[in-house]
Amino acid sequence: MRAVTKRFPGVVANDAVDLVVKCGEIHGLLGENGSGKSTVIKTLTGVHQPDAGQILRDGTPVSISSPVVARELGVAAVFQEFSLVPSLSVAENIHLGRLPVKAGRVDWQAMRDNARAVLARLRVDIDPDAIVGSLSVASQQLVEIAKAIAANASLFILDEPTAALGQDEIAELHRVVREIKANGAAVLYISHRLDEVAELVDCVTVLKDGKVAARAGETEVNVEAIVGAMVGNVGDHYPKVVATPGETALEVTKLSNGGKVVDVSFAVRRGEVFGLGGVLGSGRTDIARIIFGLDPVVSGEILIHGKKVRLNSPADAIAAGIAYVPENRKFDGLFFNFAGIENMSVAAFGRFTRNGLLDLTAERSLTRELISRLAITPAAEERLVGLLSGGNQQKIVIARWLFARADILLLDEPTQGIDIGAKIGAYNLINELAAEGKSIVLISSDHDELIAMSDRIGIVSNGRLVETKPAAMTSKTDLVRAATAGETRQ
Amino acid sequence: MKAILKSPVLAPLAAWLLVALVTAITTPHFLDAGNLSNLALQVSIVAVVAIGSTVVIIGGGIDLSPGSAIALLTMVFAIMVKFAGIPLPVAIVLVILAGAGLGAINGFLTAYLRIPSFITTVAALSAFRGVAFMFNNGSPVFSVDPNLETIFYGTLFGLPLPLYYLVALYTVAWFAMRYTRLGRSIYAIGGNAAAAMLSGLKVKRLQFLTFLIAGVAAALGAILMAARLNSGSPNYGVGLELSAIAAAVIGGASLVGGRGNIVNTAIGALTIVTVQNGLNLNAVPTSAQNVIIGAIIVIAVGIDMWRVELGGVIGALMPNRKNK
Repeated sequence: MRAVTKRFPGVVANDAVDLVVKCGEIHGLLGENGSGKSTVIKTLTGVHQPDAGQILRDGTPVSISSPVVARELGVAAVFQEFSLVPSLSVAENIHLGRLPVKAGRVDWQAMRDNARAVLARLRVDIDPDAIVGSLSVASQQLVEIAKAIAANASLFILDEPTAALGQDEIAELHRVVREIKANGAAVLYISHRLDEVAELVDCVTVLKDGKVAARAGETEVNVEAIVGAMVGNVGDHYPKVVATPGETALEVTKLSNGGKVVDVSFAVRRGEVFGLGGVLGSGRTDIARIIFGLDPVVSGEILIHGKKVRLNSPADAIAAGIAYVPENRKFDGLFFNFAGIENMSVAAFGRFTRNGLLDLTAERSLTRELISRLAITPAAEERLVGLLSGGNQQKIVIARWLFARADILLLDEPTQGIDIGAKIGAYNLINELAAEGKSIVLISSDHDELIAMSDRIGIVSNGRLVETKPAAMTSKTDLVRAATAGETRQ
Repeated sequence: MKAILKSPVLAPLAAWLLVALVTAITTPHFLDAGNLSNLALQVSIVAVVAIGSTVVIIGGGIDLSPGSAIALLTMVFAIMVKFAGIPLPVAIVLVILAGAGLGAINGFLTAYLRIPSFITTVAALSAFRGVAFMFNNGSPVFSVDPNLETIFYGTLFGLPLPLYYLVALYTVAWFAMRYTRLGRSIYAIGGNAAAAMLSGLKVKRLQFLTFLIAGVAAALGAILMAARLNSGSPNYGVGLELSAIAAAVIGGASLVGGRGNIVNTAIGALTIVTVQNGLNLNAVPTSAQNVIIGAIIVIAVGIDMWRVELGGVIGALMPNRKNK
C-alpha cells in the first residue's frame, strides 16, 4: 500500500498510510480501536475503495474493486467471525464455492484427498470428514486458514486470531502461521496481545489516528515502545496499586460441582485481587459459575463474609453481593436494544423502584454518577450500547454491578478484545474497586496481565486449584508449567 | 421541537397519514362520519389482539395462535351464555380466564419445555381451531344474548364504546411496559436472554408471562368479536394473527426481540385497517386484498431487517433508537 487515504464523512480513517508486506514475512499491524486497522483490512479485501494512493501487488498497481477481486488476487482474510458453514464437513468448507466436479457431480474423493493434503501441509491433525460445528474454536480457525491456502492465497490477513484461544492453541496457531511464512506467503497479523506479537512477527506497523505512528523492523520489536507509539505516553502498561486487604469476604471450601470442578478452596479478602490462572477449559470459568449460582454445588461450601450461603440462582448470588462479568461481553453481557442507562440498571431494579413503579428520573441520576465516575462516554446515556466502543461497553458491564452494589466481583477475561488504552482504563478501575474494599476474582488467559494485576494467584488445572501463591512470586513459567502438567494428567 | 422529531411515534404515524390520505383521495366516502366510526369499530379487535402480539414479540417470541384462540373462545363464550345460562359479566370473566389458560399452554411449552414459540403457536393455531369445532357439532351459535351487542355497538358521549376500551387498554399496556419492572424485564429478555439470566432475571417465568398476556388479549378480542356479531363461531378470526403481528411490526417492533412500542402498535393496527377499508371502498376483491396485506407485511418486516443497510434516511425515520 502506498500513501493510501480513505475518508469517511467527518473522519479520515486512513491518512496516507504506507504499508509494505513482503513474501515470507509476518507483519504485525497494531493500533487502538479506531486507529484505522479495520479500514486497512477492508481496503485490502476490496470492501472499501481508497480515496487516494495506490495498492501494488508484486510491484504492479492493482485495483481491488470488490471482495471477489481480492480473492482472485490472492488476498485471504480470517476474521474473528468465521466464514465457515458449521453443518458441513471440513473438506466441504475448505472447498466451499469451488467444489471439485467430475461428470457434473461433486467429486467427493478428490475433495477429501485435497483437503487432507492441505491440512497435512499445515501439519494439523483434523479429520476432513469432521463436521465443522463440532470442532473447537481453535480447530475451526485452522480450517479457515486451510480454506485460504486451498484457494492459493498469497497474502493472509489474520484479524485477532488468538482472542478466543488458550495457550496451547495459540502455540499451535503460531506454528501454522510460521508454516505459511515458510511456504513463501505474506501474513498481516493483527492482535491486541503484545506479548504474542513480539514473539511472532518479523516487523510491525503501528497505526494511530489513521496515520502510521511507528514502524519496527526485525531487531527492535519492543513491547514498551509499541505501547508508547499506540497510546502516546501512558506511563505504566500495568498500573497496579496494592490496596490494604481487610477481612475475608468470599471463601470457598472443598467446592465441587460433580463434574469438572473438584475440591477447590480459596479465600478472597476485601480489597484484594485474586487471580485465577490456567488454560482455557481448565475450570476457571466453571468455578466462577458455581459461585454465581449458575451451576450447582455438589459438595463443599461458599461463605460470604463468614456466613454460609446457598446460591441456587444468579438472583441469589446478586442478593448476596456477588457479580459476574462473563467472558463474552457481546453474547452474555450486553443488551443491544438498550442504551447505556438500562444496561447498567438491569441487575438492580430495586434501587429505583418507588411504590412498585420504576422511577426513570432516579435511574438516570444514579447511572449518571457511574458514567462520570468510570469515565464512560456521556453518549452512553442516550445511545444504544452497540454504537459505543468496546472499552465503553466493558465499563458499562462492570458499572452494572457497581449499580447493583456488588462487593465481590468475578471478572472473566475482562480485557479480552479491547485495545490497550481501554485495557489500562479497566486496570485502573480494578485498582479503584480494590481500594474501595471490594473483592475481585480475576480470570485471565493473558499471563502478564494476571501476574501484574493480581495480589495472589491460584493456578487451576483440570478443575483443581493446584497452587496458590502471591502474584509477585508467580512467574509465567509457573502458569504454563501448571497448565501443561494438567495436560499430561488428562 | 427536537423531542417531537425524535419521537418513535413519528414514523408509523406518518405511514398511517399517508395511507389515510391516499384512501381519502381515491374514495369519496372515506371521510364520511359513518365510515370513520366504522373504521374505529373495525380496528378495535385487531388492536386489542395486537397488544398481546407486541408484548410477545418484545419478549423475543412470536404468537401465531390468537386467531384460532378467538374462534375457540367465542364458542366457549356463546355456549356459556346461551346454553348454560351463565350471566354475561360472569361469562366475561370466565372467558378471560380461559384465554389466560390458552396463553399459559403456549407459554409453558415455549418457556419451560424449550420448544420454539413459532412451533408451539403454529401447533396451537391448528389445535385451538380444532377444539373450537368440537363444540355444538361444529356449528356457530347465533343470537347469543340481546345485551351482548351493546358491548360493541354501544356509545358514550357519541363515541363508540370500543374506542374507550382501546384507550384504556393501550394506556395500561404502555404504562406497564415503560414504568414497571415487568415491562422492563420483558424488554431485557427479548434483547438478550443470556444476559438477562446473568443479571438475575427469571427468564422462563417472564417468557411464560408474555404468552399469558397474549392469551388475555386474545380473550378480550374474542369478547368484542362475539359482541359484534352476537354469536360464536369456529370460523371466526381466520388470519387475525397476521394482522396483529403486522400491526406490531409496522409500529416498529423487531421480530429479533427487545424492540417495540405499544403506542406504535395502535397506529400500526390503524394503518392495516385503513388499508383494508380503503380497498373495500374501492371495491377491490378480497383475494387481491389478501395479496396486498401480504405485501405490506413483507415490506414492514423488510424495513426492520434492512435498517442497517438503509442506514441514514430511514434509520432516522424508523423508531430504532430507544423503543419504549
